[in-house]
Amino acid sequence: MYVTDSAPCAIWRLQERDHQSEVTDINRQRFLSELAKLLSFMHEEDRQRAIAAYTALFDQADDEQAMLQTLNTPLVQAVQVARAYNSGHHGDGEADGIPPYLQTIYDIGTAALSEQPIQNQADEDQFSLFDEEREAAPAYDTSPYVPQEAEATAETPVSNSAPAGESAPEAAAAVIETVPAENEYEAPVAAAEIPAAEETEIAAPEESELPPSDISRAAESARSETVDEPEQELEKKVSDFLDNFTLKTEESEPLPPDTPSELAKKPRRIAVDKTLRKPRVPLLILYCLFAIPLTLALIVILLAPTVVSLAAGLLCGVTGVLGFLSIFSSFSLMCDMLVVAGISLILLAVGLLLLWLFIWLIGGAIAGIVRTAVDLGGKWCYKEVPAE
Amino acid sequence: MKKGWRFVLTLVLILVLLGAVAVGVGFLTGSSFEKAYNGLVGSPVFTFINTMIGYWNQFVDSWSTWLPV
Repeated sequence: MYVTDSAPCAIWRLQERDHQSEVTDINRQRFLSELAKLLSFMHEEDRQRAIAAYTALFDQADDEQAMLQTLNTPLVQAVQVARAYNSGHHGDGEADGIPPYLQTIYDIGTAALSEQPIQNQADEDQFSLFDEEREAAPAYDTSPYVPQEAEATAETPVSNSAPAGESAPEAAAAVIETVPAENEYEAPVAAAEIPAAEETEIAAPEESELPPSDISRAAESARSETVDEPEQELEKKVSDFLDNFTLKTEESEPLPPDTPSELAKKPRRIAVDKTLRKPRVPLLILYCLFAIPLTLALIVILLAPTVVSLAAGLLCGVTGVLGFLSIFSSFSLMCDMLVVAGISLILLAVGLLLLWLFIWLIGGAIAGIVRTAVDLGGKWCYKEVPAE
Repeated sequence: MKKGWRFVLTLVLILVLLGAVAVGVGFLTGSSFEKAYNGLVGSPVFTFINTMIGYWNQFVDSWSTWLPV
């Protein structure tokens, strides 16, 4: 349990808040600088636009830490931006004048801003679950999904159980307050909030005088008055963000002040797959004139030991096997058998070595000569040209 | 290729060592190269090979008469 009213706890909370803001600032800087590094494949202007968009995203966010958690890592964001950038790099993916990568950042920002308040509220709930001050607050304020369930509940026969003496919004609010009790997270809090008198009133269906349509209308009005406020705020935030976002991206602002200045001076790199290999024709012809005869001569020179090693290896191997076969048919003395067996083993070993030498000459030496000649030709006679 | 070389050289070394030990024990126990050679030449396997080599030589000689020398 937390002792929230004590002075040390309050001081600790203040320190923790300061520490969190410091960490958030550092993380934001780090996030943006790493993202700027990862986006170095883009054109300088596009990269500055992307960084400016992310900076605007952080400026729009109430809680930067939550925003950082929503955005995950700079690598994830860079991958998404890179995909969008490559898909619409040649201008075919642009819609309404907004480049696809900016559209992607815009979508990410919209999703992140719509997710942020839910996370904050969940965190507050989690922390203040046993706090007395928090218990006094209505349960439906803590969950954005309550209104939909309340609306569905208001149309059910249970919603007819509103007391006759209450007005329509109050009855709807009472119905709404009963719904979170079915929620697995809010069940204890909501059960504690409903007084025993209200429970008896709600549980009496015979006393209802309001028709179902009035109840549902009352639920709608109550929802629009109380529960829709966070959603409206969210929509307002998102629309504000979108307005600022389009303005900032069209202006092509410079890099934010917290971005390292070395990144701004960094030259634009050309992607590897954007280059073409172009042959230097005269040099290639000259190389072919010299390299092909030389390679063929080397292959012929190597073919002689290859064939010799194959023949000798086969001869040694066959002789060794025949020697082993003749041991038990021609010799009666053990000492003679041992000598013939020893010589046969040595012949087999030499035959194995020669056969392996043949394999090495064919697959290693000759293939290596050909590969080296081709590699040298590619290295000397071709040049890499940036693709247009 | 390096692993192949290592494997082959290890196997060759083992076979050569075994062969050397066998030849050494054979000589120490009273054998000799002459006795081993005579036994090999008299064996049916080598007799068969000698016969086949003789047939091969006759075949080559018969075709060499048709070749323009």
